[in-house]
Formats: sequence, C-alpha cells, structure tokens
Amino acid sequence: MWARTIQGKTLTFHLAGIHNQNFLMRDEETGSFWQQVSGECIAGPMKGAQLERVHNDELTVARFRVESPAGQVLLGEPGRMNSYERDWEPGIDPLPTVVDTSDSPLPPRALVAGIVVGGQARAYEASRLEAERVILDEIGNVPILLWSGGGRMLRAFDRRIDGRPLLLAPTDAEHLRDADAGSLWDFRGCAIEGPHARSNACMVTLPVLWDYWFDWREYHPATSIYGR
Amino acid sequence: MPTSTRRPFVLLGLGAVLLAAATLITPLWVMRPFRPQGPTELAVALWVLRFGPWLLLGAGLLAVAAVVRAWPGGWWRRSGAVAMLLLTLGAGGLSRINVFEKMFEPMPAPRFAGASESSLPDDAIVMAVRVGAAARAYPVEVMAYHHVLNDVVGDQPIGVTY
Repeated sequence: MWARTIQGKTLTFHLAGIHNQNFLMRDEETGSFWQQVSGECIAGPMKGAQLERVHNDELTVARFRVESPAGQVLLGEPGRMNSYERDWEPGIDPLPTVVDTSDSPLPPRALVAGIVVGGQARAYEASRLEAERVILDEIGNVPILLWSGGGRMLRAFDRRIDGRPLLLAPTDAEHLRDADAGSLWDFRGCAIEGPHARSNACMVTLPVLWDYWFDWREYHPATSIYGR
Repeated sequence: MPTSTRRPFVLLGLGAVLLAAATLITPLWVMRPFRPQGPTELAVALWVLRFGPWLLLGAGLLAVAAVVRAWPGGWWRRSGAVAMLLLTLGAGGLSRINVFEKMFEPMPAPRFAGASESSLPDDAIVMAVRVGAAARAYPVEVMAYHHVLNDVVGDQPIGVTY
C-alpha cells in the first residue's frame, strides 16, 4: 500500500504493464510508470521518485472486526464475483517463473514473509512461521518479534520498549508475556496487563511483505533466510 | 511514368500502417506474461506507450498524405490508399486500449460495508489499514483480481495494490 500524494501531487494509479512478473502502474496525472513491489518510478516524468509505504496488516476479517469494530470492509463488484477466488494460490504454484533462483536453497514459488529493518532484508518461510508461531529474532542490531496468528496473519514488531528488548513467550493463543516485567501483550502489540499496560505501551509494528521467494530475492538480492 | 506517382503513395501508406502497427504491438509483445523483460526492451515498450499518441498522429498524417497523393490516380489507387488509412486508424484505435485493465478491470467507485455487516467468512484474509480513527480492510480475494485500487482513508489518499 502506498501514499498517493507525492511532490505535492495526488496520483491516480492504473494497472499498466508487467515487468518480470510484477506489475507496473501508470498514473493519470503525469503518465509515469511505477513498479508495484518497490513503489519506485521507473519511467516517465517522475522517474526516480519513490512512493511512501503505508503500513498495512494481513489479518483475518474476524481479527479485523475485533480490532476495528467501526471499520469498513471493501465490497466486491457485483458483476465480478466469478473473478474472485479464495484459493487461487494452488492454481498459480505450477506456473513458470522467469527469474533464476537455482543457486538458492528455496524453490522459486516458496511463499515467504519478507522484512526489512535498517536496510537489511530477511525472508521467513511460511512453513517455518506455521511451525514456530512466536519468533524472537534480531536483524542488524534490532531485536524483533514475529507473531503468527496462523496462515497469512502475521505481525512483526520492534520488541524494544524504552530501548530495552522484551523477552516474550506465549501464554495462550492470544497473548504473550515478557520475562522481565511480566506484562501481558496482545496481538496488536499492546500491553493489556502489568506495568507496561499502565503506560499504554505498544511495540512499533514493522512492515511485512508476503511474496514468492523469486520476487522477494529479485528486489532484495542480499536477503538472508531465517534459520538457514 | 506510372511507377513514380504510384510509389510515393504506396510508401506513405505502408509507412503509416507499419508505424501504427508497431505502436500497437511493441508494448504487447515485450510485456507478455511468463517471460522476462530486459531493461532495454522494457524501456522501449514504455517509451512507445508514453509517446503513442504522437506516433499515431504521425501515422495518421502519413496515411492522409497517401490518400491525397493517390486521389488523382483513379479509383484503384484511391481504394488502396483509403484501405491503408483504415488499417492505420484500426491499429491506432486498438493501441489505445489498456489490455491490462481489460483483463483486470479497475474499481473506480469502491463500495464498503461495516465490519460487522461484511458477509466474508471469518477466516478470509484482508489487508487492513488504519489512518487516525479510520480503519479499512481490503479482502485479498477482491484485490487479487483488481490489483490496483485508488482510495482515501481518513484524509490520506492511498493506493492499495496486490
């Protein structure tokens, strides 16, 4: 998701092309071309400009209802219902890829969650996240938390509060407890019990990008893979 | 010398048809799915898309010039030149169609339901965004078809992509 306002202009994007299996957008206002995965303008009058990312989470709609009861959910176009598929990934898996990943340990269409902290990229395999619901990791010198709610529902946090890293472990499916202060944290990353709750502390969320390995690696050539 | 009058209108007409056809085919050929796009060919394809209207204007002028040149030469030449003009206009018209938006139609006027009124099954995945007090969710199954949505959440214009 991207902020559409850049250099004083609000742009309106259209699907306009394909570049190594990642799509290109074109804006009505300047006619420039933008790469979807990176937000970079690759041709036209705004070439070189970079869209600003807007933080978003992939959640189940049930979780969204809990966290944002007054929120709104996009409706599909009535005439397009046949085009919407809930389980389209199995159909895409056997399709060919055009980027060579044979020198890496993962197959091209392995699904990974990608995180970038301080310019360093790391990929987490979907199968790994399913097996290890709570991962305490460090990228560069930043202590982070990956918390999987099952399937695609994944949040990543910078697990420092006031500069001190939290050592978190699950108490039940919905909560984590930190070893030092004993506060209880919910899936939003906010303390709901204990000393941190009194100061309404929330961890800072980090952007997560679900992607195929070939695409993630194409745009983050120096990426590491968690646990490999 | 009939050839000296015939050739210029044939050359003008063929030039028009080829220019319009190249404007139509180049981006489609380069950006067809399941093949890699090299940097140079992609740059050429995007250049053709950007300057397509000018290329088509040039092709149209060439085709009209061919008709003008062929007109005094009789019905056969007139029909030939007009046929090339029509081919030029046809290829030019087709090149103005965005095939990507034909395959994946845009959503210019998105509609929303309250979180509790949505009929999605509980485990459907949405992309959730919050701007100030405003929260919106975009079902992945909808975005995986449309790919691009221009929206405003709170006071922030955002581009939702999937």
